Amino acid sequence: MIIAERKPIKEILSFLGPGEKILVLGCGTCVTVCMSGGEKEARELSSLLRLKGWETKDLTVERQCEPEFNLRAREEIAKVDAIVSLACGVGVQALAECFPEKKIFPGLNTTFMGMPKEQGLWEERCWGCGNCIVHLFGYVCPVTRCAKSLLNGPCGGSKNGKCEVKPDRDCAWQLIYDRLKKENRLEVLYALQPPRDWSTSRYGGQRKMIREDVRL
Amino acid sequence: MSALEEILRRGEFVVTAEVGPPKGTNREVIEKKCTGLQGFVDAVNITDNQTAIVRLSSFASCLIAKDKGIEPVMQMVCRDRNRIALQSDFLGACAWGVENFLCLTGDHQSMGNHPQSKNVFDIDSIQLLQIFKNMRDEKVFQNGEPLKGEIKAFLGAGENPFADPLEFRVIRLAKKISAGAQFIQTQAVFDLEIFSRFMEEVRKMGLDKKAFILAGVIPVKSLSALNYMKNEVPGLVVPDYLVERMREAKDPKEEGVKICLETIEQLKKIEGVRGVHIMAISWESIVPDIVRGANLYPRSGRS
Amino acid sequence: MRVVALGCDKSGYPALLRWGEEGSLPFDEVKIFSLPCLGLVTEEVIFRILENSDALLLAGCPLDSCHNQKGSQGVYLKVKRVNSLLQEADIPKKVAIAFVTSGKVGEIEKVSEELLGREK
Repeated sequence: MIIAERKPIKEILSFLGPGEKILVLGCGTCVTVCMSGGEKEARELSSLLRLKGWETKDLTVERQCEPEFNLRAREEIAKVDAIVSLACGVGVQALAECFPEKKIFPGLNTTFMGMPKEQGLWEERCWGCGNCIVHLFGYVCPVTRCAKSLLNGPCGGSKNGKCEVKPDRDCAWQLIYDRLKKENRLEVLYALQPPRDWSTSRYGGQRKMIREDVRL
Repeated sequence: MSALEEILRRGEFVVTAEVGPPKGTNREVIEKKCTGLQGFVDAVNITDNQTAIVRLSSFASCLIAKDKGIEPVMQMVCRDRNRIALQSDFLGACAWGVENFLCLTGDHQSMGNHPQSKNVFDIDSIQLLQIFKNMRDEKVFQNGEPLKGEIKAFLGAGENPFADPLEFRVIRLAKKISAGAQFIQTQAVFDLEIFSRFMEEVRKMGLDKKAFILAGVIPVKSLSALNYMKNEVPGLVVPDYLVERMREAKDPKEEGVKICLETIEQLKKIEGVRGVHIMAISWESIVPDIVRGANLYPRSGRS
Repeated sequence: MRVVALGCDKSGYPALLRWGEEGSLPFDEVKIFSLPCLGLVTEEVIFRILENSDALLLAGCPLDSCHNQKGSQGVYLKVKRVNSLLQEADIPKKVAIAFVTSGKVGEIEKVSEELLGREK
């Protein structure tokens, strides 16, 4: 899922003008699961803004990344001066595309695509490089989980299974090595991985996906 | 062929050292360090924004070194430049007569003085070796297009026998050599036991016959420096008994040199080790003493 | 200072009642309520209460002997989070928890001082 974290309160407060009527709009999908922008968090922030003197209401939609859900909130949105969206970056932009005349502020900082490792801990797993090769590396993505996106093995800074960049972070290559060793498939690592085609990744600006057969 | 390659092929035990460029434009810093090393080493590595700290570029520093009659080894890391810039700088360095290149991954930018920067890592050190080899031997760029002009390059890589997973290090070394590495400079050896075991595996795979392996050493000048290396530098293994020696030492600098010389003596005896790479960080002036103390002076130089 | 006090049936509420009975409470206004377990108190509930009062005093079983096992522990973490949000937003309101066993009001008195100190 997409992981996002609530922006510092002070930053959110700095967006809002005195006397503005505010709507805190939560999102019921990814950010609910990672506990940053769901109904609960929307209610919390809404209370907090009222305690700071803003007339605030809250509402949560199924997910803000789909216009059909955002449009269901049009009545409440029409009544307010500004919206604090608790969706990920996608939702905030989708919301803005649905309501182009409205002032919208992001209440979260969207960070990564990841999974809950344990209760209260979410870790990044995928970068969206556009060419999935995890099956070659023991199902540990070297592009995402290696700090240097190395494809031919660990750098010289791997120690005790930890990455030189963050000592509490596992070295992806140690994980890859351990997994392939267990499966007796270490020969995979002997092969020279050629320079990667990064053109499917995030360096070319906005990407898109099309399904001709469903475009009416 | 480069002087370094020539001397190695002659079968002599080679000595290389390292020079870090200044954080500014003062070429005299490099000139002075190089002059101090003249006659004591066969080649000098010029680092490339090492530990992600911005310094006078490796390329420019190599030219300054050449000007002073020193044979440079141009270090190139994959952190800051993509394949376009790396191939371009390679052409530039070759056009200026730089003949030795060390292809490295590069320390992560978070460790340096510009931690907010993006990194590149378009390619890794192994792919870089292959790209340079193909540019030199097949005369093609990474995309297969032909390139014009002569390229004379002696290609090298680094290896760390002490990083994890230990069992994988020799495999990684084999990959580097098959990708194009002709010489290897290892991370500093403090733990001779681990290093000997590493070299045993290296010999088993015949890698010592395919590439020239130079063992790294670092002369340490104080207990705090040794402790820093033991605890803060990932990939450096320092046995406790060495820490004890430095702690008990009356003159830590003298002890540091002694330890370094003892290590070099042991390294000379290990089959497959074709030279030593002295990384005298912030202590380049001690290199002549080490070379002399290790009975490696005078250097015969090019024939 | 207008305070709302919530206590769990098992320990907090009886202690709050005793505290209430003992006379001179240090607040302008105190409203005391009971609930089955402090574990039921969510951040949303806390914020709602604070919109109509100045402080919230929770009284419940001690951390390691909560009648419902994790009730006290859960609310402890939630209160910590709410207080840091309030501080981040510069809102001069506070929540505090008194971990009591049925009869003891000492802990409640201590926590009251804490709430008052915050206002000063």
